[in-house]
Order: sequence, then structure tokens, then C-alpha cells
Amino acid sequence: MNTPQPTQPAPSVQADKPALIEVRGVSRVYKQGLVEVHALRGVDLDIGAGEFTALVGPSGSGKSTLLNVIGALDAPTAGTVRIGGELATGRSRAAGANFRLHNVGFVFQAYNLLPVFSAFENAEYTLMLQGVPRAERKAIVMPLLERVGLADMANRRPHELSGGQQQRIAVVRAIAPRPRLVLADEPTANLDSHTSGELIGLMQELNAEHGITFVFASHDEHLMERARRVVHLRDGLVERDEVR
Amino acid sequence: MWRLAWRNLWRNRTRTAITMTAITFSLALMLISQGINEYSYEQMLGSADKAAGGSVLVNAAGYWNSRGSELVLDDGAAVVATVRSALPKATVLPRVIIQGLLSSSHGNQGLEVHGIDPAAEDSFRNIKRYLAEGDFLDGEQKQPLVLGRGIADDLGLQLGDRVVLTATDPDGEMVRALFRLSGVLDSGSRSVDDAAAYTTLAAAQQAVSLGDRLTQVGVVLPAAASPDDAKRALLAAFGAKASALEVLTWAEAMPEIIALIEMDSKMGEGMLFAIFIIVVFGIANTLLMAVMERIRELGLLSALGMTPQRIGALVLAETVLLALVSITLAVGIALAAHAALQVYGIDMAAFSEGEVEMSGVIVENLVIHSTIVPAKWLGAIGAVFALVVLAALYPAWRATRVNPTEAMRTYA
Repeated sequence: MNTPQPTQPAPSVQADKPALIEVRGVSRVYKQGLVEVHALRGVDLDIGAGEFTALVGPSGSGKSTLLNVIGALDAPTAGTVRIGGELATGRSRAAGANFRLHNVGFVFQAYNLLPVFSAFENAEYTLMLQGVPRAERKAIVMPLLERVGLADMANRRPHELSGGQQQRIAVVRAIAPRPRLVLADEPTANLDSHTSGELIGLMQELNAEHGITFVFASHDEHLMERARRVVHLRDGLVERDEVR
Repeated sequence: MWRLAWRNLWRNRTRTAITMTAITFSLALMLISQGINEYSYEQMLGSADKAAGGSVLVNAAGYWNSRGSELVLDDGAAVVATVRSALPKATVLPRVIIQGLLSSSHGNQGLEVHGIDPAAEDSFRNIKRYLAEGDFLDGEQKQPLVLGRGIADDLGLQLGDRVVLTATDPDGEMVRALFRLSGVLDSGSRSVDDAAAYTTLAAAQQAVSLGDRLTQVGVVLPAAASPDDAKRALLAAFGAKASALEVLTWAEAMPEIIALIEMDSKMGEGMLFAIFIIVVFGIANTLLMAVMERIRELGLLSALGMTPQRIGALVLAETVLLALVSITLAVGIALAAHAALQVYGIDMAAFSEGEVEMSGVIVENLVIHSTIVPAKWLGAIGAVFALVVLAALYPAWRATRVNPTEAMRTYA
């Protein structure tokens, strides 16, 4: 397969924000049988602390792959990613897991709550993994559940909640440990436009209130409209970087 | 982690119930059969001293293996007196044992005739209960002989018929003695019916010109007494004379009983262990299925920051909980079965005709109960626990290899 020469804008960061995420020359090649699929082709990108950034692009443009590499869920074939100056890439499985636990919150398209846990237990789970004591976990999580309007549903299991409610629990789970950044892969894809709008609003508010950096991979136009920065990807490269 | 493990255990109740049932029943079966076996062994051991002739036996040196007619206790009365004085609570059974040929007008049969003190011997061996005809050496006959039904029939003997015993006296001379059939024993066991031949001590001594000499002194100890301790006491009491004597505990006299029990015990344990190994493969398969079914969820845990080690530990924790619940149930079932067996027992008489004989030992109590040997139970429980956890090692290892992006993409 011919690999096009990377042509992309220089990594940019909003002028008033220090770079939290530094992506340098990141490539990701998957092998599907004998065929190599170049999901990323040497991406350079800086994202500042406290940004509310959307990675957009058609299917196969590499936005989910970039999100996974930034979040140390996937290892790049080449290149590096630093979060707050710390290398997120090149880590062992265990070190990668620890890095995610203490630095990154995730929100997934399919909510991905643990079905055997209640809403509260799901929301506190990452804190529990961090070894935060029970009372402290409760003190952190309950106000957040109240903040997202689900305090009275804290004891419900995921199957007793709507999609929007489940996704709000997932957002609480992501932000409860106060991570440096939250990565959200198509967080609104399974929601109707009203619920989707509410969720985006909630994340914007949390971004403003807590200064947590949010990076999305999304097709959702509502989300793109409300993002303060939109990075357009195409064929594994940054095509355009819009700062609003 | 334990909370998640516990809840995961119950998310597929049917599968967990099936796995638990397999572990629970195989372990319960193991424990129950161990209890029954131990009880049977106790019964065998309890009856083995009867088969040997006493808890401890005193013979002339070398007699037990050679059975030579010249190997006799020269001063029988002194030996009996020493035994009585050393072990005052023991029952002492003086015996004359004659290897000989019994002849009637119908034929001949080689056998071992025991000259005994009928009352003392019966108090130990309870032989009289098998008496089908005549009396047990307490009638008018001067040369009485009580035979098992099989011998009496083979020799075509009726009560009162004459038989001739040909044997060797202690000097090596061939002697012949006349006896009359005074009683017939019918136990249903071949070891009695085809082998038992009893006469009085005096008649036996007279038959082979022994005078007051004896072949053997059997010593029956009270229930709790140790044969080994009794042997030590006897050797001390005999002092310098001990070298001319052979003092054997019943276990030394009949080592095949101990060997049989050990072999039976090991074979039984091996068989149950083999069954459990098969069960373990089933468990491993089920656990692996449970992991593969949850691969997406394990990927999520990894994405959230759970290390591979903790994910593996989570699978092991689920297995440990599964094992603990199953073992608790199994022990409960086994204890209930043990209690029921203690009260009701299994009457083996319904499955056999006459006495049950194992390795020459007549097991008198045919109602099988159960005996718990705590060390063996703990051993079985520990082995089952270890095997179940072992069965989870591969599934746990697979769980540690989960790649979060692949798991969440592939199994979405």
C-alpha cells in the first residue's frame, strides 16, 4: 500500500493554554491478514489544559485511534504522546493501566457500565481502584451524582437507567478522580438529539467548573458546534485545526 | 475486587449453580465415602485381632512363620502367669495349635486344630453363636471336636462320629488321636465353615503328648489399651526368657490387614481424585467460557485502569469464592450424611448372605456407619480447593492478556 506523504498543519494549541497533550509523529498501522491499514500516519498535535476539543472526520479517518493512543489504550507504531510532560506511550500493560487510572477518564459510546454494580458503585469504581477510602469516595461521588441529577437513582443498576442516564453515570465515573483529561469516543452516538444536547451541556459545564480537559471523537454536529476547538482528521492525518 | 467478584459469580446463576453442583457433589461424595471407608477400616481393625488370635500373641521364637510342631512354650503355666501379672486387665487365652490330618471313613482333610479354653475363647471370639448342632466343648465328650460345617460335610460326619487326627508331636514323632464330633459351626463364612476345628486344651495337649506345654498364649487387651505398649510390658516381664519367645502384636502377626487397608484407602482416594480431575477440566472450561463471555467487560476494566494482575486476580477471586461456597455446601452435605449414617447406618446384611469376610477377617458388624478423620477430610478439602483454583489459572492468565481496545472493539 502506498503511504501518502504527511501534509498537516503544525501542532497548534490555544494561545492562552499550556500544552497538556503533546502528540508527536504518531503512526498506527494495523495488520488485517496480509493487508496493512494505516490508521494514523504521523500525527502531530498539541492540546492545551482545560480545552474542550473535538476530533472530527469521516469513518476511518483515525479519530478513535488517535483518542486511544492519547489515552494509552493503544500503542502507536511510531511516535510519542506526552500528557503533562509524562510519556503516555511505550509503557507496559500494567504501567499503561496505572497511567490511565491516575491521568485519564474515559467515556465510551456504549456507556460501558458494569452491569453488576449500581449507578453509585459504577461512578465510584475508578476511585476504588485508586484506593480512595469508602467515605471519601462517597463524599466525592454523591455531589457529582446530584450535579448530574441522578442522586436519587444511585442504587439503580444500569439496566434500570435510560441511555442518557447511563452516559451521565459514565461521565461521573470519568471525572470523579479529577483526571487531567477526559477522552470521549462518540459519547452522544447512542443518544437522541435532546439527551445528546443535555449531555454536551453537562460536559461543557464540568469543563468550565473543574477545568478538566475534554477531547472527543465524534460525528455529532451539536458537539462540533459547541466545541471550542475542532481538529479535522482525514486518512490518518490532521487536515484542519479550527480554534473558535 | 471481592465485591465485584462476588457479584460476577451470580450474574449467570445457572452456570454458577451447575459448576457449584459439580464441585459440591464430587467433594461431598469424596468425604462421605472417606467416612464410610474409615468406619469399615475401623471395623476390620477391630475384628483383625480376633482373626490373629489376640491383641498380642506369645509363641515360642520362630513359631508364627514356621508353625513347627516342635516350637512350643515349654513352661506354659509360667508364661500364662507372667502375662497375667504383667497385664492384669487382659484376658489370657492359652492355646495348643496342631497342624494335622483329620480322617474319617469318608476321607481326609488337612487342617489346624485349636485346643482352647472354651469359655475364655468364646468370650473373645464369640464362636458359640455359630453353633448349629451339638455343643461347644462343654458337653460330656472326653475327646470332643467342633468343626465347621464345610469340613464336617466333606468328611461325611454326623454328631458323635469318630475322627482320627494324625499330627506330629514336639519330638517329631507321628501321633494319632481319636476325637468325636461334638458340635458343628455354621457361620456362612468360608474362613469358619471350611477351617474351624476346636477341641479342649486338655484334649489337644493329650493328642500330641504336650503335657502342660502350650503352643500359644493369646492376650486380649481392654478396648483402649495399646498392643505396642502391652508388647513392651510383656518383653520386660519375660526378661531374659524373652529371647526364647516371640511376642507379636496383631498388626505384626497380620501385616496383610494393614497393607490391605492402606491399599484400599489409596485406591479409593485415587479413584475419587481421578473423578475430581475430570470435574476440574469441566470447571476450567466453564471458567474460560465465563472469561471469554466477559472479554469486553474485562477490556473496560483495563481501560479504566485495572492492571492485568488485578484482572487476573479478579478471575481467581471469583474462583476462590466459587470454591469456598461449593466446599461449604459439600461439607454441609457430608456432615449431614455422616450424622444420618451414625443414626441409621447402611445394613450390609441385606446385600450379603452370612458373615462378610475381608482378607480372612470376619467383619462382625454389618451395619456401616461413618467415621470422620479430620486430617483426611481437611486433606481432601484442601486438595479440592487447590484443584479448583488451579483450574482457574489458565482462564485468569487469558484475562490478563486482554487488550482493552481490541476487546471493546471486537466484542462491542
